[in-house]
Amino acid sequence: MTEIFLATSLIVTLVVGLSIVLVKLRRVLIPDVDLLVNVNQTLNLVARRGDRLLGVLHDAGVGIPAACGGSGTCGLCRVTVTGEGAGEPQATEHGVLSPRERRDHIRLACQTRLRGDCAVTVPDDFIGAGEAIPATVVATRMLAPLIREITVDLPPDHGGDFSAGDFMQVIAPPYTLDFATLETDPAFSEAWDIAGWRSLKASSPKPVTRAYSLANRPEDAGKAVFNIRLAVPPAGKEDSLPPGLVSSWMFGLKVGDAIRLSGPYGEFHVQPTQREMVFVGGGVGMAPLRAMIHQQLGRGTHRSIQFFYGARSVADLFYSEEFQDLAMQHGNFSWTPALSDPAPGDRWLGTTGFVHDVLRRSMEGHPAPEDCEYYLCGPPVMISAVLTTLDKLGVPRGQIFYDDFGG
Amino acid sequence: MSDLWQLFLLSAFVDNMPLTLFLGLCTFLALSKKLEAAIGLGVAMIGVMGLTVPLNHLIYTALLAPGAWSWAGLPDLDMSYLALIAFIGVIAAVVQVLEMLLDRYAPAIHAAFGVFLPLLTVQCAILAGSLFMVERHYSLAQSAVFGLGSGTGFAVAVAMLAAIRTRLAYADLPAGLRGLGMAFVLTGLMSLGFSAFAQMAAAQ
Ligand SMILES: Cc1cc2nc3c(=O)[nH]c(=O)nc-3n(C[C@H](O)[C@H](O)[C@H](O)COP(=O)(O)OP(=O)(O)OC[C@H]3O[C@@H](n4cnc5c(N)ncnc54)[C@H](O)[C@@H]3O)c2cc1C
Ligand code: FES
Repeated sequence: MTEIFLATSLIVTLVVGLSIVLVKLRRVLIPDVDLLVNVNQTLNLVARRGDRLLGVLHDAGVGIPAACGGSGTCGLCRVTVTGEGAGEPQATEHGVLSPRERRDHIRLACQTRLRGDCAVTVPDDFIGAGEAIPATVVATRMLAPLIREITVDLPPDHGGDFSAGDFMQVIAPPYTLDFATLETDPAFSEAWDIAGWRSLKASSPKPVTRAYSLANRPEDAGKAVFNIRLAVPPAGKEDSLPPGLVSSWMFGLKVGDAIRLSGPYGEFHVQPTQREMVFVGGGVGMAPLRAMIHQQLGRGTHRSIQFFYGARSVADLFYSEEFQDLAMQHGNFSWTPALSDPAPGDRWLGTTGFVHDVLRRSMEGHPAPEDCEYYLCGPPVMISAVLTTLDKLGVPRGQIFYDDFGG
Repeated sequence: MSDLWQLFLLSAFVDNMPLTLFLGLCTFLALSKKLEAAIGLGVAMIGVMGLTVPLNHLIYTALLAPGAWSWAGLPDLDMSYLALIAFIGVIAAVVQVLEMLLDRYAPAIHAAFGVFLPLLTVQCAILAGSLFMVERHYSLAQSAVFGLGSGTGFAVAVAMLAAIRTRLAYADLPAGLRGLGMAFVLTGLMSLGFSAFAQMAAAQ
């Protein structure tokens, strides 16, 4: 009995004693003082030692985009930080930032823990951009079994200025959603029943932010149009993995619902040159490309535009008629949808094959594929296949622009 | 040669933690890509082992060893089975202190360590140091020397491996051997080299 008592109290005393020593030492070594963070020499923010820079900036309404939610993979939260308070780049940042960027004091805000005063430089229009814009959903429709078009009415002072290719950040509130209650278009009900997606459930205990590209046409001014792909778990993992947090919430939105956004942001834009343009897309990579093509044609460009778009079957193909009409109206625009796996019932007479193969076959007949500009957006596998194809065609990397959605 | 000096050499070279006893291999391999990080790890190992082994020695003899409580009229009490938990607690605390010190005074080394510093808490070589101390009945002075010696041995080994690996960065290795594969081969070769020390010690 004494032995048990002694042994227990001994270990408890030892552990508690060590903890007390640690807490005391931490007080002495890492004083909990206020630090000053100066942004663009205009804004002075107060932070605590050990805070993450991204959180400090977001709390002050500086709208640094953070598509990966601060895990250090998307690289969108790049800022210039000077002053000893920023510390040394962390191991996670070495993979994302080039040596040159590191020399220029560029850091990932989400990986920077403050340890002293510092000065931060961000593009001027980010200041205040982080304030969430309240907006209302005005239309939703299903484009494909897993893709929904959501149109949002922006408040009058926010609707105007964005460049085609930009994205906005959507802030999903805490929610729970039972997929059995989702309204699906009868045209796609069969796909849903076969895949068993109706048994899924999604929930999120805290607000989550994700980036979504704008798919606006010129006539959508004052609105934001999104193509949302529902991120269902990989086939066979439906029981163990939850569906995507924000895309599920977006899928459940109905007309009249409130939604909070920030932005727009983006660096994926049409270059002001005279080169021919080739757009290659897949899945919801459609969104930014659609905005770019409409904007270019709407401005009456004389540059030639080709659009290759890959989908599995007819059910996954959307906006096809819209692009057919555009091709009829504009002699300099051509539209090539390619199906990799058309269903027997599709009666597909168009091009078949993977989009990178279709692109290669077509560009091999082009007199100078290396003189065109390429704009790619889609799933990471598609992007890497297309990059290899373009490499073989001898296209310099500087003429290829792409967005792989943080993949 | 005095006994303590001999113990130091013995623990650093003959009973080298990674190369003779194959202890602490995970950090040994993971942090040997760059010489700077390897030297940092070596210094940390010397510090942590040099502190934890004598500290654990004090705790063990004063509180846990059989007969430690005879002054209280409990000569039969043997709490040596608590040694493992107590040692791990002490090591964890020392690593935390070290992390705070580095964070404050050497942020560059702190950043280079990344996630590896907290991993030292569960590094087997460090725990093994304290367990050997019990098994071999070292005195306090011997424990301190043994801790410093083992740490030094680890530091020398990891710095050597890192130096070789940096050189090999320009070698045209077969694809399958690049990275960790080659590191294992190197570790094996170095360990063969270190077994020569055992021969020397045996011959004496
Ligand atoms: C610049 C940019 C533009 C973008 N534009 C668009 C766009 O126009 N349209 C669009 O649809 N998307 C777009 N995205 C992608 C979008 O931001 C989200 O990444 C995407 O919607 C998934 O977010 P989520 O919250 O729904 O899923 P998450 O919750 O992030 O989950 C992602 C996936 O992981 C799976 N998963 C969940 N938990 C686990 C686990 N423990 N282990 C393994 N897997 C797990 C989920 O099932 C899901 O399939 C864009 C991204 C960027 C960076
Ligand atoms: S938010 Fe920092 S890298 Fe994505």
